Amino acid sequence: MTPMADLVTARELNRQIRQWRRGRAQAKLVDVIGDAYVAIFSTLIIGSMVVSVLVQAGDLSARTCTADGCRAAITWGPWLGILAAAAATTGLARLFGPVFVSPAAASWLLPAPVDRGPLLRPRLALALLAALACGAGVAAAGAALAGDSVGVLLWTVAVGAGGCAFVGGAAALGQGFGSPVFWIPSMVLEAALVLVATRTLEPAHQHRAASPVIVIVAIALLGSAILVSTAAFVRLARLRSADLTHGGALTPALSGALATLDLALVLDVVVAQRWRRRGQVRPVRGGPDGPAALCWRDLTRLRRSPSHLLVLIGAAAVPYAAARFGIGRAVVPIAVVAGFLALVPLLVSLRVLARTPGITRLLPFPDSVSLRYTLVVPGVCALLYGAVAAPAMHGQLGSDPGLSVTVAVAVALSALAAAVRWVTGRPPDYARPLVSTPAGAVPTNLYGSAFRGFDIALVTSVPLLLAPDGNGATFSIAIALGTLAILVTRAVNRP
Amino acid sequence: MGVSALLEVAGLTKRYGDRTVLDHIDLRVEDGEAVLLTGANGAGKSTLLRCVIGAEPVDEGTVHIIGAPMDEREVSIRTAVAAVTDDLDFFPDLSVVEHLDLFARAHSVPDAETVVDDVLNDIGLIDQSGQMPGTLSSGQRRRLALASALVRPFKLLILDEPEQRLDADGLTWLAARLARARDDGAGLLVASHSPILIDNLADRVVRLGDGPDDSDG
Repeated sequence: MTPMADLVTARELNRQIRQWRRGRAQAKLVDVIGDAYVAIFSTLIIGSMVVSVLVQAGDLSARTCTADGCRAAITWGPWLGILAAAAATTGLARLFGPVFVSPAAASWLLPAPVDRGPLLRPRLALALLAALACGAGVAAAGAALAGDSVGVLLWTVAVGAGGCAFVGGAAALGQGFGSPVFWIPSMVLEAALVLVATRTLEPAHQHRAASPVIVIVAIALLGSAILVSTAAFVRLARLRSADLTHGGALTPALSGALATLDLALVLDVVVAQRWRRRGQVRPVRGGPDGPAALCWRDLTRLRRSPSHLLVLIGAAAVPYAAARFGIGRAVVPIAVVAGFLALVPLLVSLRVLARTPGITRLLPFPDSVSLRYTLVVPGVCALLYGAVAAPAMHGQLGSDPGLSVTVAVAVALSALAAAVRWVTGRPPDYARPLVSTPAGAVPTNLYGSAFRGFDIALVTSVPLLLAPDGNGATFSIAIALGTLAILVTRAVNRP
Repeated sequence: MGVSALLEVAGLTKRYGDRTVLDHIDLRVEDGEAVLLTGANGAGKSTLLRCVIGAEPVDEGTVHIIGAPMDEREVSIRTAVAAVTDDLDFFPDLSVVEHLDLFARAHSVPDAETVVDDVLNDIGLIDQSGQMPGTLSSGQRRRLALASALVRPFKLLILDEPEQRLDADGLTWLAARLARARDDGAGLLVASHSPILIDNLADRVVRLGDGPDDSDG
């Protein structure tokens, strides 16, 4: 029997890994210094450009945004930005872990008889630093655009950094306990704190001095972030392999999809990962016969993921916020784009049918009928979104109630057409002529894929921008319906 | 040749560039008949099946299903032909039983829930009813793919190597299940390497890749 060797510590294991890597290093010291110089130089140049743009944008907003409504709206900017950053932090944390290891590390490092805590600490530290930087960056950008004084800007940055670090730390703590419960209170708490800060802002002191409430909120969030992060670090050693590996398995698939700029494939990967992790559901039986069975399954999806509908309705806040800036008819394309982005998660059924001929062959109706029926439930949701968003455009386009109804339908169908364009888009085709670029040979349809959906949102909005009346809205509806018909036909005839 | 054949392939030729994969293939499947396609890897079995179901364009020749030229967009043909090839994927957010419910109800199968439950029992996936396809093993996914075809009515069943990733019990079950479908009057066209399926199911065996005698004419 082989005698048991002395157990190594994580520190020794890391030292050993560093030695292996050093032994296989091929870069010379001068290359490393050269790369570091380029990295630092690029960061400084890009950073200074971003700061310059923000300062100029702040000056511009101070000169042009003088109406009360616009000033009030711009004051909300940093806080809404912080909430969005915190939501993004929570979403990414749920997707990846937030602590994760690569499949290779999971297969040979995690089973080793080593304390996992020290091995995983750098990964958690990196995740928390990323969250902190994200919150700080968004808060700084918002405060600069709002024209805040340096003092207000610094405390706003503290709120953003503390808030996102707090949310990230709470997510890591939830991962340690194997429960998502920790994420919900953290989001609610942060939203409440930020709202308290904004509601207690005194207009007379806005942009000049930090309100005591902001200071208290910033300190509370930073303190809470330190507390939950410390607890998360302590719990690291208790993380199970299953908690750590799913994020690691996701990263190669996402990297591949992002490398080809195939954003719909990114959605496929994320959706598949989400339901694989959920694993089991209580099946919903019954429903109508014929093609309506597809609608029934879309209702099942909606019932299973009501958050998709809530996000869609919540997206209607975007045109309302935009309207506060007094940008007139430009609210329309903004409403269409917000609806388009929020509608995409509701089109899973269309996406799967459009990319999987094996399933459509099993259905006893023409592909065009199958695809059209997958648009029924998302279409109704889009109309709901249009109805909720319409009052935001009411004052910008006219006060006729009939016009508002037509505009609501136009916005709904335009958003749906843009979302359908996004989910049914063809992936980059490396068989077609390639363009030589500094980054290598690139298919001609690669760059266009980044603008997919936005192009339709713009085209369908143009009639309302040019003629903000019933005729413009009718033209928008006609273009959106025509676009939907073309997109469905194209998806059917895909080779 | 009568016109009542379920499937009638005449002079089917398929080329990829300069390479001819299928050279003037003739094939016929009647009601209640099981025809098994065999041949080495790359002999063209899957290509032939894909041409038959309309997933690949043919370079020469014709494919008729129940007397009508094959057009996979035709509702009558989709109703008559159930095909499981290797391009079948599933909805990531619907469970096993919800998939089968969807296919059964799309075909307006009477008493769909009972039929689905019977097939699930039959195929050994009843315990996985509420599971998402992404959590199934490769063998279970294969069973789900087969169940997707079996849960609905069909006159002609086309399967591409259905034995893949099935264990010995699964293979025995599959042979018995397909034999039952054949005895009920359905025509079967199955590409397979499995001696169990060939011995227990085949009324005729067509071996591809052997040159001029490919066809069963």
